[in-house]
This record gives sequence, C-alpha cells and structure tokens, in this order.
Amino acid sequence: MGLKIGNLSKAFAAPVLRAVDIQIASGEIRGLVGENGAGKSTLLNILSGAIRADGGEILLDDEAYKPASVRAALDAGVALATQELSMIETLSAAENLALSRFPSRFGIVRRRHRDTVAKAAFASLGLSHLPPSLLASDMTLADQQLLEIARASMHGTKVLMLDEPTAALSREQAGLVHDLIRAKAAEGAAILYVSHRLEDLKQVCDTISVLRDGELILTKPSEALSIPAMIEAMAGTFAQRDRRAAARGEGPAALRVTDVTTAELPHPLSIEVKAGEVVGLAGLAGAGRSELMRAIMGLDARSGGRCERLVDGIATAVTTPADAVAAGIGYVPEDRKMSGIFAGQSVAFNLSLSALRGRRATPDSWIRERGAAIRDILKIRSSGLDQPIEQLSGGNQQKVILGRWLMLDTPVLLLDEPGRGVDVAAKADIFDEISRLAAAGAAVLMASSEMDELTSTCDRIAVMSGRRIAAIFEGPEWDEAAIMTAAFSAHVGGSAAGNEATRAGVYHD
Amino acid sequence: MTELAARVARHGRDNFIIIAVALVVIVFGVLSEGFFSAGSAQILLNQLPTLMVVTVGMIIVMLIGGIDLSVGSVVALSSTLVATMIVSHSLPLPVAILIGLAAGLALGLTNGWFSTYAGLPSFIVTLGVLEAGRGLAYLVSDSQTIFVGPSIEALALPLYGIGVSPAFLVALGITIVAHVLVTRSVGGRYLVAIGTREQAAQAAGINTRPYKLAAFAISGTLAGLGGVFNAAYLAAADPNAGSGIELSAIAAAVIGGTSLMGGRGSVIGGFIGVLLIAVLQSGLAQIGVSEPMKRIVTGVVIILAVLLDRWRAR
Ligand SMILES: Nc1ncnc2c1ncn2[C@@H]1O[C@H](COP(=O)(O)OP(=O)(O)OP(=O)(O)O)[C@@H](O)[C@H]1O
Ligand SMILES: [Mg+2]
Repeated sequence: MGLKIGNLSKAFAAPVLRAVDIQIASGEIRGLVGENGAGKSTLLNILSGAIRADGGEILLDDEAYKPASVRAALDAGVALATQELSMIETLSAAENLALSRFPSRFGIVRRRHRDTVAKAAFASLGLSHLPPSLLASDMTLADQQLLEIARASMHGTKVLMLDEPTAALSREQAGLVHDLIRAKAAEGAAILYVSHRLEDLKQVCDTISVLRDGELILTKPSEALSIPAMIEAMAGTFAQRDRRAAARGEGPAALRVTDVTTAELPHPLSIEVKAGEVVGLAGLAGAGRSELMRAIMGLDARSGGRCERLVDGIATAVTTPADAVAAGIGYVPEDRKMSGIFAGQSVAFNLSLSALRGRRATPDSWIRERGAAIRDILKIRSSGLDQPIEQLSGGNQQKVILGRWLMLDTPVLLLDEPGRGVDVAAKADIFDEISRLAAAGAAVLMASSEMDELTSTCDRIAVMSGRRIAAIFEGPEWDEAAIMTAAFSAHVGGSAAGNEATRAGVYHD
Repeated sequence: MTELAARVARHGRDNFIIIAVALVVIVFGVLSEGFFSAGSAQILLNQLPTLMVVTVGMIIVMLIGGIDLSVGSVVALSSTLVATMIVSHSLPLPVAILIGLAAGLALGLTNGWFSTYAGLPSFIVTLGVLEAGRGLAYLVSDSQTIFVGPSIEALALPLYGIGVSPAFLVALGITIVAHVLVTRSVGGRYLVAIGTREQAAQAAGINTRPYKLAAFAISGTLAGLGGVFNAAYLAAADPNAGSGIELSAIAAAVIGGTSLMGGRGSVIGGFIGVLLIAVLQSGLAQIGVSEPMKRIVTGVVIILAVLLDRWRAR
C-alpha cells in the first residue's frame, strides 16, 4: 500500500527530474528537501496531474497511476497544496474550499452544506474567525495558505502533498498544519511534505529524501539525518557562515517614520533606520509588519503621520509609491505572486523594471550586464535572462524580485519576508548580500517570521504586537525569549487564542 | 432586520442600477406626455427580447474573460435561416426555429473551439465569425429581406391580458434561469473561477476547456434565439439585422456590473442595463431629440453609469 515511483523523468529545456525512485507507505510522513530549482515542485506537480512525466512508472496502492488531469488525481485521492497559492479572488472562502468538489444537488450548489463543511475545516486550522462568505481577495496571505492546505487535505485521502505549506505562516499556524498532517497520516494517507524549514521536517517527518539537480540523493529516517548532513546532501558542500562578523559603521538617519496611522494601523507608529543599518521587524502573523511597510511606501492611504527620506540631513516627504521609488526606497512585497512578479515577462524585464525609472531609452546592454551580475550574486537558476519568470522555481522568482532593487544601488530597502521559499544555501547568500549592502551604506528594514534570519542579520530588531511597536532590541547579542515575549505582549496570556482574537480584527470591518 | 440590511447592501450594485433606471424613467416622465402610459411600457418591453438574450450570452462569455463579437451576425444568420425554412421550404415554425438555434450553436461552438482548444484570443476569433456569419446571412437570404408573415409574428405580439409578448416572457425566463445558474450552480461558480484565474481553477481540479467551450456555445445559441425573436418582431428576416448589437450587449453587461476582465458579472444587472439603454433611447425619441443627439447622450450615459458604479463600489 502507498505510493511507488520508479524511474520518473521530466525535462523542460533541460532535464529537471532524472530517473527518480521514491516509495512512500500509507501513513508515512515523508519530507522532501532540495535547493531552489532541484525539481521538488515538478515532482509534486506530476503526481497532482498538473503536468505529465516524460518517462517512468507510478503505482498507487499497487495499481498503475498516470493522472491525465488534476481532476483525475483528485478522484484517485491524490491532492496537492501548491506552492503558488491558487485561490480564486472573486470567490468566497467557503467556495474556494469547495471548488474541487462542490456539494450539489442537480447541479445546484448546496450552500448550507458547503458552509457547514467550511466551518468545520476552518476550525481545524485555527481559521474559526474566517466568515465563510469572505472573499478570498480580502483574506491575508497566511489565511489563503491555510485554506489551500485545508482544501488539499479534504481530497488527499491516499496521498497528500504539501509544497512549502508553512512558508507564509507563523509558528503557531505551522503547528496546526503539522497536527493536520499527523492526523491525515494516522488516517492512512501517505504524506509528501516539501519545505525549506529543515527543523520542521526533522520534527514532523518519519523519513526525509533529498533531491539535488533532479536526482534522488538519499532517503533516511529523520532521526538519522542531521541538519548539516541534509544541507550537505542538498548542496554538495556545507559551510557554516557568520554574517555578523563583518561589523558595520552606522551612518546618519536615512528613513524616518513619525506617528504614521492607516486604516489597518490605528496606533501611531514611529521608527527610524540609519544608513548602514539593518532593522528587523519581528512579530506574530497579523502584528502589522506588512501593513507598516505598505504605509511607508504609500501603498495604503495614511490617515496621519509622516514618512521622510533623509539625504545629508535634508528630508523629503514620501506620500505615494512613486515618491518612495524616486527617493530611493525599494520594496519587496510579501506576496510575490500578486504584487511582485510580472508573469509572462522575462527574467531581464522583471529585474530591470525599477532601474528604468527616469531613463529615456532601455539601456539593453547595461541591463544584460548588470542582470547577469545579479544573477550570479543571488545564484538565480534560470536558463538565461530571457526565460519567462513564471517558469522559474518559486525560490528563484523570489531572488529575482530582490534582485530588482540590487540592479541600482537602492539606498533604502523595505524587505517583507525576503527569505520566503528560498533554500538554506540561497538564503545565506541573500542575507549575506543584505549585510553587504548595509555595510556599503544602505538602510534596510526587513520583516521576517524566522528568528534566525533576524538575529543573524540585524543591528536592531523592532518587535510588533497588536499593531504597535512593543519593544526595540539592540544587537549583537539577542535575548530571543524576550523578543518572543514582546511579540506576544498584546495578547494577555500569550495564547494562540489571543493571537487569533487580533487576527479576527483584520476582518472586523 | 440587520439581515435584511445586509442583503440590501449585498445587492447594492443591482439596486444602484435600478435607481439609475428609475431616475431616467422619471426624468422622461416629467419631460414627455404619455411616457408613463402602460402602452408605452409595453411597446418598450416588446422590443427587448433580442437584446436581452444576446446580453445573457455575452455576460456568460465575459465571465470567463472572453468576448463574443459575432452575436449580431448570428442574429442575422439565424433569422434569415428561419425565414427561408418557412417561406421557401414550408417547414413548420418549430422546426424552422430549431434550425435557427442549431446555426447559432454551430457558430458558438466554432467560436469556442478556436478560442479554447486552438488557444486564439476570442476577440479575434469572434471578429472573424462576425464577418463570415454576416456573409452567410447574405448568402442564405440572397441579400434580400424575406417577408414571413403572421405565423412567426405571433411570438412578438402582446398576449391578451398581460400585454407582453411570448418572446419577452421567454427572454425573461432565460434571464432568470441564467442568473440562478451563474450564482448558484456548480458550473456557474466554475465560470467565475475560470474567468478570475484559469490556472488556479485548473489547480483546483477543474477541466476548464469544456466550460469555456460551453460558454461560447451558449452565447451562440442565445444569439440564434435572438435571431428568431428579431424575425418575429419584424415579421420578416433582414440580412442586416443585429448589426452593432454586440456593442449594446457589452454596454448593458458592463453597466450591470460585469467586468471586461472576466470573473465578475451579474445577469440580472445586465438585464437592468438593457432596460436603462432602452428606456433612454425610447425616451429621447419621444421627447423629440435628434438622432445625433440621441447617440451622444446614450454614449455619455453609458460611461457615466459605469463611472458612478465604480465610484460607489469603493
Ligand atoms: N514550465 C517550465 N518551463 C521551463 N522550465 C521549468 C518549468 N517549470 C519548471 N522549470 C524549471 O525546472 C526546474 C525545477 O523547478 P521546480 O519548481 O521543480 O524547483 P523546486 O525544487 O520546487 O524549487 P523551489 O524550492 O525554488 O520551489 C527549475 O530550474 C525551473 O526553472
Ligand atoms: Mg518549488
């Protein structure tokens, strides 16, 4: 019983999967790791029926399994929670959940039944605050991700696959997802769990497989595989780095935010970032970190306060996104799919976009030269600068968006989860690059849900809780317990329920 | 009570258009004698069936993010076919009507196949069919208006007692059924999903192509029915019938809240859009506005209606 994959191969322009053999028993939780572009999503997409393999054989419960479509896979009990979220913005939460199989009578949706099912599914993932009729476009990224997982888990009775399910989630939410995974495994589903959060995999999975360049390198019980060993298997080499060793000199204030309020941020917020400094924004989901960045960029209308960009002590007010970019502020949004990438356009186009500002002609040779340099620095894996960006693996798309602001030496960077979906080695490269930029005089404000990303890179960490700045910590020594306490401070008792209560507030109006 | 308020708020979009229609009606009521007479309302309603069914089809195609520019030519082809079948081949009316619908279905499937399975933009495909369909209508009718007479006209004549024609009742029924199907049926939800983000719909396990094909097929068939209604209204088939109706249908759809980008649309809203345009045109005619002014005013009102709707939706 379970899933047996033999000799599976797939090539796009170049081979992506090379004769992969994997067996997963029913009830087994299998972790799958590999660098960005190793072929993890491709493997999952073949199993989910989204794309066809070139060769090889798959057996599901000892019967040949070759899904011709996602529909066929779902009908066979194989479901995937995709890496690129697939919510339909114009449909409600309940409709999105039911989309793969609407409860219906004579073709008409049974709406009450649909909403009952939705409420039960939401409750199991801590989404009780979500009204079933809420449009997906009004949901937070984390909630969309949870909904995607809920949908897959309803159909993945034999095989449930999750492609970086916790990338946009807080610790507590990730915990709920892990509970769900364990419950599905206990019911007899074979689980295939892809993540770059290696500790999570070690904790949750029975066994872990490593994919490198489309080849299966090893499969081991998770107790028998240490994290350094995993990284070494993924990359071929492993070198521990210490980023903070390169001390930075602090410069004058480069970005000053004074008493800013918006519809989402009712309490006035102030923060200052100096040239040559990396300031981290820590906090739980819904704490207001992304909202603060959007407010600074002028993407959300401000109801009060000021944002100023300071150059040599001279302040320029920033009110619109165009002001912000003109003043040298670059922004990497949290949600790359909706507001980051230009799908259908080449890597070069996506890299060059913000560098074109103020130029009359497209300096093509410059874009190619600089683009190639960025591609090397961030180790972006693409067939060339002309490859359409949507063909890149998720982590490599993320690197392109970050690279967009590196094309020019952007003096102020607002980075919302810059390491999301990026593999361990590439993450190290990205944070190295951020440190290098700061050392060269850039001012960086960076939100992250991963404590180690913050503590390894930041000079100061501002902790947000309940849409206020609860505390600011100074490095280089960090008291992680104190940071966590501050993150929970808006929720008396510090429970997940408290967290939910504020998150429910997001949907209050 | 609060539930009622919530419902009203939810249907605010439709209500807004209703208010707009009401305003237009009142303005004309004040400006022109006899605009409020039952007779004038009946005459107005009985002109509408063709545009009503064509608009329903257009909205369904727009929901999936497509467009059907061929509807006017399908109207003409269907009506000339029906007329020829009755006049030259002495076929009974129901059979002739079925042939008209079948022609609409065939062109709709053509539109759908090329825009779905061959992956061409529907704008281009249906533009081609607009040309070719009109040519076919000329061929069928030998470029002549074909007089049919009372057998088919009965469809368009007011029924005794209620004052509206059978054609109007059928068109109204189709509008209501289509509204229910779009909002309540699984297929309707799929159309919305496909029009919003086709890839995501595929990832959710929807085989999108049959649904897209079906949307074009429905639009073609409804345009075929529109041709029948048009022949009934004129008691004759005109190979030039229906030219430009695609633009009226798109305007009505957009006024009623349907997005040109796909994924958002209301069939009832489109019906009210049809009413708004019709009331406006007949009202302007009644108060004696010249043809050029009529067109200018209609154009301005279309843009204003959509603008106000956008502004209100914020
Ligand atoms: N449609 C496509 N056309 C061409 N190349 C593709 C296509 N889809 C994926 N690839 C290539 O296949 C390789 C593997 O991609 P895949 O998405 O499977 O990586 P991954 O292991 O999931 O990486 P990540 O951790 O970044 O999500 C990448 O180099 C990518 O560029
Ligand atoms: Mg991937």
